Amino acid sequence: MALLEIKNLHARIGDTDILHGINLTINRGEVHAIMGPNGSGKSTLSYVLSGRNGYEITEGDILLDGESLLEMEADERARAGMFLAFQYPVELPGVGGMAFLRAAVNARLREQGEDEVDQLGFVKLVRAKATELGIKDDMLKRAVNVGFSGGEKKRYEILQMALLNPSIAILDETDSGLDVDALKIVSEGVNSQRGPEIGMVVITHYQRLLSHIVPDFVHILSAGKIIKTGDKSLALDVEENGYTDLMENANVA
Amino acid sequence: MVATTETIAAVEDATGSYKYGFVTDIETEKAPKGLNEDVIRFISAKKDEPEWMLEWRLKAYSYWQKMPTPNWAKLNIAPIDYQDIYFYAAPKSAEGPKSLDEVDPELLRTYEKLGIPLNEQKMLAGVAVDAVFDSVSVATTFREELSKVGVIFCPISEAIREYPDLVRRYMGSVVPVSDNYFSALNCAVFTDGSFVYIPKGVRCPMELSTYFRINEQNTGQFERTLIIAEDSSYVSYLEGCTAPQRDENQLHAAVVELVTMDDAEIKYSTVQNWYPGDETGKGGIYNFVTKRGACRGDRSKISWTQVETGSAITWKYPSCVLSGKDSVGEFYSVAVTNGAQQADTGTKMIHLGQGSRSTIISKGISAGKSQNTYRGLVEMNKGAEGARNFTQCDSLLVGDQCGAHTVPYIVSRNPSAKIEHEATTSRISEDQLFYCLQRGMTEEDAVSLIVNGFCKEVMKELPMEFAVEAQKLIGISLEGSVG
Amino acid sequence: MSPDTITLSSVQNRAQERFAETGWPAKKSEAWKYTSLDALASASPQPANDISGAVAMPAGIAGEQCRLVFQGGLFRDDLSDALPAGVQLVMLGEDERALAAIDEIGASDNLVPRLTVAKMTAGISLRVAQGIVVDRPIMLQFVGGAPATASHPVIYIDVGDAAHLAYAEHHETDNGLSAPFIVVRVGAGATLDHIKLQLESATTQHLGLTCLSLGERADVNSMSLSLGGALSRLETHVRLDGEYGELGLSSIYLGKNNQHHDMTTRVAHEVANCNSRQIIRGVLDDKARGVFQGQVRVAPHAQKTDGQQMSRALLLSRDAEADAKPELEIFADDVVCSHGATVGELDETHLFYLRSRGIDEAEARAMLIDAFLIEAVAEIRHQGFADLFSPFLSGWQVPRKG
Repeated sequence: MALLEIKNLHARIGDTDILHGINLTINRGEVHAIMGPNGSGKSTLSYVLSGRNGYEITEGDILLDGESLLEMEADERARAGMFLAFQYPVELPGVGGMAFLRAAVNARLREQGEDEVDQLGFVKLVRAKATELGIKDDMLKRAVNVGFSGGEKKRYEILQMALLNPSIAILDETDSGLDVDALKIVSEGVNSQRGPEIGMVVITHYQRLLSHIVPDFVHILSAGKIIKTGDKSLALDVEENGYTDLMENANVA
Repeated sequence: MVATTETIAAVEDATGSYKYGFVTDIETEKAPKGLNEDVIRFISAKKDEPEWMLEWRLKAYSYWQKMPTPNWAKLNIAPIDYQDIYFYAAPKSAEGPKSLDEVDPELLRTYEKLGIPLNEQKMLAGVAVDAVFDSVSVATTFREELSKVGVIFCPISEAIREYPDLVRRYMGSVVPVSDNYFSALNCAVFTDGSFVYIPKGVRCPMELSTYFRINEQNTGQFERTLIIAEDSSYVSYLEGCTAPQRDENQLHAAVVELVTMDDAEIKYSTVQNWYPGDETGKGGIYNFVTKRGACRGDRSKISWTQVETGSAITWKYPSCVLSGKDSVGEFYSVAVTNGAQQADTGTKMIHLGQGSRSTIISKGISAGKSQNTYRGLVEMNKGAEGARNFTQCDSLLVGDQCGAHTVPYIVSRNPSAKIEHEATTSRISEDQLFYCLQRGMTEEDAVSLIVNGFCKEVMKELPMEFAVEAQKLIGISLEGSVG
Repeated sequence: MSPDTITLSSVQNRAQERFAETGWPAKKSEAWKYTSLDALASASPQPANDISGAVAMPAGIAGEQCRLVFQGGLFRDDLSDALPAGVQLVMLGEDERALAAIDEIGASDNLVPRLTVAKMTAGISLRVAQGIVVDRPIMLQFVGGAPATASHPVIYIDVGDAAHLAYAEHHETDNGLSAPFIVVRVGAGATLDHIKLQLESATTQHLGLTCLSLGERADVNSMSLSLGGALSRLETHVRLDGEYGELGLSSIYLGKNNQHHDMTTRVAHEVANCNSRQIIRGVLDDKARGVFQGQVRVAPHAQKTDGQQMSRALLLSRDAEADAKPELEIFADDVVCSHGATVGELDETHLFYLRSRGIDEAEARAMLIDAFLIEAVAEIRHQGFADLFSPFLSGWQVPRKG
């Protein structure tokens, strides 16, 4: 069975239709890249998949391990195994980094009928993973994302992913706002979580990220539809030639 | 984008599930309903008070009769009929037990339900409890240990009999009889409260605490507390209240007076959870309290820390008069209103002494259809050379049916005094909620996490025992229907 | 009262009745907590009957202006300039809409709309036609008067949709009481630049009320300076009635000797998507007292409001006093509202720094005070007004001795 199936997905915000029939199948162990020009609907897709309020699905379905997500709220989808790395991670004044992680992990455990984490053990676990991502201890004591640099925010997103063990991870323009060094660290963190059990959707505008996180499939999104699918060489194609030709061909076809 | 109906529903008051809603069925001896000189004499006689105390009460009563009811706050109050209230209701069996064995077992069971196991030292972790039950203090523990270091911690009625000099010297010196309508009333009819005296150089070895409860229908709670800290002494005092469900409004008009001498410090923490009334506001507690600290000594310090989540109507301004040189006044407050609650609270920092400093951090959270107002006064007088104030008032609105208001009064009569005041208004944004939801937290978890983050600066001032209870309380008071 | 029967005398009678009901505000009343009118209530100067003769006219705005002169509170048509194109002037009694607006304001408990309308010394209504960009500022010039007299001018200004008007008020009289009542309606898409200079005599008491209402996408930039008078209260009420309105409302008060300056504002966000911004600066010397009361109210459903307010007061002497009451009343949740207030003195370190560079104390203090005021001055959008404004600031400073 496919991990994530997006079937003929149409969605809108308010009165504006954004997605016009997306079809995509992601199996466990696969990394799919979604590229597209601004306004193509990339962020909308990530929000619709993760269940953000304000988006209406007018047609189609999303299946996670064969189960439809449409009636599930954002937190239910999350506990079912979906993770979204935000393009603009949100600031939570006064909420400590460690406390936030603990709350998220406990929410999952509670639903599975298990006990909440043992405090000391959790702190050790978090510190270990944090060190791998180059996240210092004091960053975890600060309030979530408050005053974090772009790189720190993205690294904290990946730390969360490492602790929550999702089955499907959507990375929304994870490379935006990162310099070369930060990009390397974040990519390494993502790659270390790749495996036969997890599926990933990497949304990006530029090819650069995909040299570090090498995708199995590349899809081009334009005006709310996937207009072309290929392997990693398609990304290099786009980098060289841009989106315009591809889009024109799509309209002609 | 505004909060969705789901969000709002998630934070609507759980009126049906007020955790402490129950009534103890014990005979009580009440004074007849209403307020007149006879009732006051009755109370004074019941308490076995000296003549001077009765005179003091009667004087206060005559002041009160001449005062008009205050109405300037942004509160919508139905007129209170003072002739329809019992001003004295003492449990029959309790006439000063010498040990816990003498206490009515029903009462003890009540305390257990409230989570105050008087007879288990371990669980109290060394906290002495003076359990005030409906106008008479029933038990006082740990008195021996405290008396070893000279600390006096007893019911105020006892202090009036045993330590009249101290009481006469200080009671009414911080909040004078004529100060305001409710304090005058309190002076006339107060029935109990705590008296604390810390001698010179003593650091009180444990946190002192009092639990209140209003039980009898139509009985107002008129508690009076007096805490005196001599030179270089320290005490941390906890006040936590619960009350059962009621249909008639119940009046709570307490007076708390604190005095600190040179280098002394009093830390006064309150977690207040009076019954807030139903979703239309009917039946909740009216909480009108006058709390004032006098930093008389140089380098003395008084901190007020409070988490207020209950009451139908709250009118309360814990204040500091900073007379001593380099004295310090602090006010840390979280006030949550939901349903139809109304709160008009804040603080007054009156700077008189050179080098005096004050810090005010107020976090107001409004939800449901409630109104939450911060009202503060910072006054720098001519002698307050080099004084400093820093004030931060933040309001968080949950849903678009409530109101959050800030009314600061700033008066400066000394150029070298610096005042800095900041106020912001915000809400829990959709983005913040979605971020937490996407991490698997339920909406309730998310709101609780974000709100506690919002209140963090205040919460970290609370003593440990209170901090946990307070965090839960904030979560509960914003909960949707339980289940 | 239907529009057919609304006349100047009916409005005045009603104002008279209302004033008789409430009288002068009591000392304990919340709105007048910091400013006492007891002296005024007992003295109560009366409107002048007749004014004639020449008046000393202060220098106005550089370049073209249309000056409308009020002497001792009476309108001197003969001394006033011709109106610019697109602007009409009629007597208040001939403008029913103006009368209705004035009457409605008087219904709520306020001093000036009742007192000044009842004792009106001059009443005019100015209309700027739709779409007109008035080519020169209108200067309302208040001069003359005597200590025993009271000036009660009522001025109604209507800025038509998509029009533009700049108007200035210059109050430099010898009146015992100056109590101007000005009502301005700013139409949809219209812009208004406004400046008020309160430069009254040392014995004058000035109680001014300006009521502004903004339509959709209206844009108002207003600055008030309170420098003269024995006691003054410049009160401004603004209603943002149309979405996407923009308001910049700033003020500066400078107090010396025994002056009492009161700047009171009420900004009501009645609808969504409006921005308001207030910058207030006060400098107080000798035994002067300055009061700032600034209420910002956000009505339910006035979402996406952005309301900012910052007030700072500087005390230069031991006997000066500053009071502030910035107030927020918020009933909508998707808003950004904040306010700040500070009170303090000149920073010793800054003073020392300047003096260590050879600058003498008087000049150093003047420089720091300028720096303190500059953020407010920068708020003035209209260049001509900014130029008119500045000399009064530099001229105010008193050189200190040691």
